Amino acid sequence: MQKKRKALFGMLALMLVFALAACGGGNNNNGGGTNTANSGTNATNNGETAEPAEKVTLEYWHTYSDAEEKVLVEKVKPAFEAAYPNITLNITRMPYEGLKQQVIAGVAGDAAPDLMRMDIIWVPEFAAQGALADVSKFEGFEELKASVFEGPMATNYYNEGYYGVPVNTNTKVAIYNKDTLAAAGLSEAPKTMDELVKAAEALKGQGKYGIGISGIHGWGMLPWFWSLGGTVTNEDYTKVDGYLNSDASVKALETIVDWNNKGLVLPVMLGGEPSAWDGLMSGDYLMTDDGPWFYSIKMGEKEATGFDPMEKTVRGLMPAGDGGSLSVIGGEDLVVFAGSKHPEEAWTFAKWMLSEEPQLMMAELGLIPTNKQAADKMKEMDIPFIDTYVQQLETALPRTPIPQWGELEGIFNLSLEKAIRGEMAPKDALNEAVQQIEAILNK
Amino acid sequence: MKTPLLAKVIVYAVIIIGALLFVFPFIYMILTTFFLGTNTLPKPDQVFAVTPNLTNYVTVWNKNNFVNYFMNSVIVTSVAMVGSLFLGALTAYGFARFSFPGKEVIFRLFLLTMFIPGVINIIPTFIIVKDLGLVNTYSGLWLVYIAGGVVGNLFFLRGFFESIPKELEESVLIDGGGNWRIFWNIYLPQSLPAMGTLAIFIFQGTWEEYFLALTLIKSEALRTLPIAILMFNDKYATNYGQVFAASLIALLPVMLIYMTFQKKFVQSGFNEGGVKG
Repeated sequence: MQKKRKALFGMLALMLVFALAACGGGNNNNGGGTNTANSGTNATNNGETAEPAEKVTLEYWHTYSDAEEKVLVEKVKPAFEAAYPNITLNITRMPYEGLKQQVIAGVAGDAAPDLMRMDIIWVPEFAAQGALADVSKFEGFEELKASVFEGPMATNYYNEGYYGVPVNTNTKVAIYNKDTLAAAGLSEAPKTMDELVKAAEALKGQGKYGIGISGIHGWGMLPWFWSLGGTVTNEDYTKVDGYLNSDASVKALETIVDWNNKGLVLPVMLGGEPSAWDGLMSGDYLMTDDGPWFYSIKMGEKEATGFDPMEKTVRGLMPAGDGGSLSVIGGEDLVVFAGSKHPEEAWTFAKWMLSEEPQLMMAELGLIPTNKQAADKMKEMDIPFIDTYVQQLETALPRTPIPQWGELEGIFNLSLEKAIRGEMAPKDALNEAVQQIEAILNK
Repeated sequence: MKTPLLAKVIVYAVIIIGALLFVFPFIYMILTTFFLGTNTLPKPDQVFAVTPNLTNYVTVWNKNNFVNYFMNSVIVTSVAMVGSLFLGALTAYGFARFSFPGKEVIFRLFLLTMFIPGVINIIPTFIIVKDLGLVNTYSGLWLVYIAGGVVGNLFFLRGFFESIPKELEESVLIDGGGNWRIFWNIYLPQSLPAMGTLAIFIFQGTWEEYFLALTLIKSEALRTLPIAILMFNDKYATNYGQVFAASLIALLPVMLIYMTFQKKFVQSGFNEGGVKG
């Protein structure tokens, strides 16, 4: 274990090094298009110039789960290769841990794949480093843009271009333990923050926790911060002063601090035990907020754990506060790397992947399509947990889609943690964060 | 000499408590592998109430190409270990027994490279391996593992080789043997304790290495075991039972190697008395 921890520290230190190295390497990539990486398969294919339609192999990195990868390999890949016989997909599943460094190393070492499905919050950052191709310059982009949801598409926007296309989207909804809900005296999911707070107060006497904030980071905190009326930036993501430290934001943070002081929030928010899922399953936690994967993973483990998520839980939209019922948009974008030797073919795949048929194949597993028509058809499919998610998506917001989000989030997390742990007054903590973030945005 | 009973009891108690302290996390780890579908590390009261079962081991063995990656790791590690040991020993022999111009300067230069953590070099290393056309091959991986280990092994073995009495060489020279025979029949057998210890270090280091392997190996079929274990860390939830079961299986060869070579490093100093006077 100690070894692992050491390795982890090493990795953290290295992220810095890689970030520096990638800045240099990324630029080189942009200028010269001479890409000799991507294994030998491409090289041999290039030699076959006799054929009219050159046979091309695309390297595709992804982080789909076990079940999703199965569909990708057994259904999506054959369907695509049947439609485009001159293109072969070479699919590689990457471990999620350390993935960002792998991508940076790949780009810097001129060995990035042609395509990758990456987390939506990474796209502006990699675009800013020159690692990705601007897909809005490709033919057919405008049609594609019109066929997908606006919110997920916006996560690809950088510097007046689009550096990827959204391949699937998701959000978080409130998930309640049915028995604990009854113990709190409720028969259905609370609709408002006030109802939830009352339920949490009722449960406090029983040694249970009611307010399901899963951690102090953008993904865990923003649905609550937003729903309570807080904001991070202005609408075009250029300004935080007057937004992150507005009266409404201060009030939202004060509310969360107050909840925590009263002992209503899950211990897991501050890194305690049990984890949100285990606490929810055991009934020690009334609720948490999470994505559709809670259902797909727990349904897969039903036999082993004896916990049927459909039986034992109730779903609801995020409880509404002063800001309404707001959740956070997650999901993945499909990007084409700037160093790809086959940008045309890669774009062909991206376009095809966002069409109705493949979108519906992945939808069977609960991955919410970004293609509007496919999303519409998904409602008719028999996926028991998906309705609430699709509904919540209507009031879900993206995390600030700017290249500096990584840095910005670090400051955001720290200031919230200081306030919640009582080291700083909420107002001072947010003011301090605003100062630091403005400095980064104005760089 | 007779130790009083009380002193004996105290010493043994301290030893036993110490041993328990060290072995406890490991037992905790083994017990955690019996939990199904847990996303937190279980609490102590739950841990000791669990019924042992092999479900997680079976799941893990059949998931994420575990068996393939296990065999890949065996191949990669054993070749790297043998190559690294052999080349390290040869280099150390050279530095211990021959004098050549600039020997100490080269030795210092070698040592200097040890101050640079290997992962910082990963991009230059990758580019060199790529230019050699060895990306996505085990040869590329072996090249880096073996070459990367030479300096450390040289440093480790040189002092040991220098402590071997020169007189032993003379017996070979009298029998008409050359430098090669001295290396093979005197130095290697005489330094088995050091070689054994080194073998363990190299094995463990290579067996657990994943970052370089993940960077150099691009196709899934050629990946090594640590990458398979990483795959159990899902983006959304970590099933600790499975991660620990996978780690335990991965640990078995390391334990096996320890047991095989530990006899060797316990017997240090067995070459004393090989020469009279």
